[in-house]
Amino acid sequence: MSTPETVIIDELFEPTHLPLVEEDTATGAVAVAYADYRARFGHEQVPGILKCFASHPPLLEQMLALASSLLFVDGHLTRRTKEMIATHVSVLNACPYCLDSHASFLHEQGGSDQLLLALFTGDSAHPSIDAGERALLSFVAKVTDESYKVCAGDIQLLEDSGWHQQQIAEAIHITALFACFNRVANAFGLPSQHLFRRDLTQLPATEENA
Amino acid sequence: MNPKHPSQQPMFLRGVEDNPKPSVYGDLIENAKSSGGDYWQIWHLLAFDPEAAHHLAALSHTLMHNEAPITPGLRELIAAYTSSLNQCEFCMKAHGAVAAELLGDEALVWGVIRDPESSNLDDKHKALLRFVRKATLAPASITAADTHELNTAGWDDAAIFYAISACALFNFYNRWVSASGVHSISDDAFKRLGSRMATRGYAR
Repeated sequence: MSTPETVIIDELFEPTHLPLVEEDTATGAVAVAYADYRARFGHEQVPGILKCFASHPPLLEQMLALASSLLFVDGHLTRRTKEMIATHVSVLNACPYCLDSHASFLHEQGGSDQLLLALFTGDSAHPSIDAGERALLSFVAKVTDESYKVCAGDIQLLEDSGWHQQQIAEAIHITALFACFNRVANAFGLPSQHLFRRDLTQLPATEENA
Repeated sequence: MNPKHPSQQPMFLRGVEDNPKPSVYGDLIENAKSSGGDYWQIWHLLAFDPEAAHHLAALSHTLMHNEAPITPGLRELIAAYTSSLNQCEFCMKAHGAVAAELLGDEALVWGVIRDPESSNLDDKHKALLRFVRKATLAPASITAADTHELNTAGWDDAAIFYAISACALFNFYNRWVSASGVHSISDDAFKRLGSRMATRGYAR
């Protein structure tokens, strides 16, 4: 019987030593924000990225408010799609912290092991990703890596794939948000929290699509 | 299209541009249109989701404008430089204008945008912008050696936190703006709107 374990591998590097506000030292508004997070998400651990912003408490509150209104709700896009975007961007930006965190959220939102493995390995042709999602993820990659090259034709391609403009606007917003979060997490050197603890090594090999 | 008003070129997201929700940004757009002046099409993105826009503006104001370990002028210079690395003309010119107003030195700002190493910045500031470049272009490769180098150059951890955050925020804005088709406007309009942002910040 295999032991559940994450397949996300942390890079071996010496992270920066920028100060984080740990849970046992949080006081005042930061302690309240941490308690609110635990109650809302049912997670015992406060995420590392909140600990980065907590050294400047007004930013912690504002960042949480922004993420709550944009990411942690169904909107024009479902939360599942938003978490799929977040996971995809975090793979592209090689951010182990956000990748683990949002893979875990995606799993909670019904993302299958096959979908997660396809995202981790960049296998967007895998059948767990449908044609519309494939077009969306391709666009998300362009926004992440070459946003200055995006043109009206890219939006048209997405519309042809069934996405409407409000959904595309939200996809851009979430993609851009993770350009920000990934950089904060990477600059702080936040490691994976190992929230995503699925053994994907036993899955059958992904199928090659013609 | 009227070449005198580049802001009137359509955004890529016409559905967003044509349907601003009731909000302070919707009012700004209406006022600008009725007076016939150039305006920032980013207001359409903010009017698309006013609740998120409210939180984003508050966060941006705290991060970029309020008192912090590094000056608003330097934070705006980081914003303009980050935007140049991401080839976001709108943000580069907008925040270049804000930085020029705050620093009182337009030539310095454009020198940094062209190349920080050959600009008139001192070595301490050049070290900070080298870090910003890495955080923008190769964030996964940042290690303790990078922040140690900044400490050695004279930046404390609180200053580094603000540099990271300003850089990260503009990596957000650059993608949001570019992928939505927010167009650049005239240099005069950038100066006018940038001057307002320099004194009053991001909150509306």
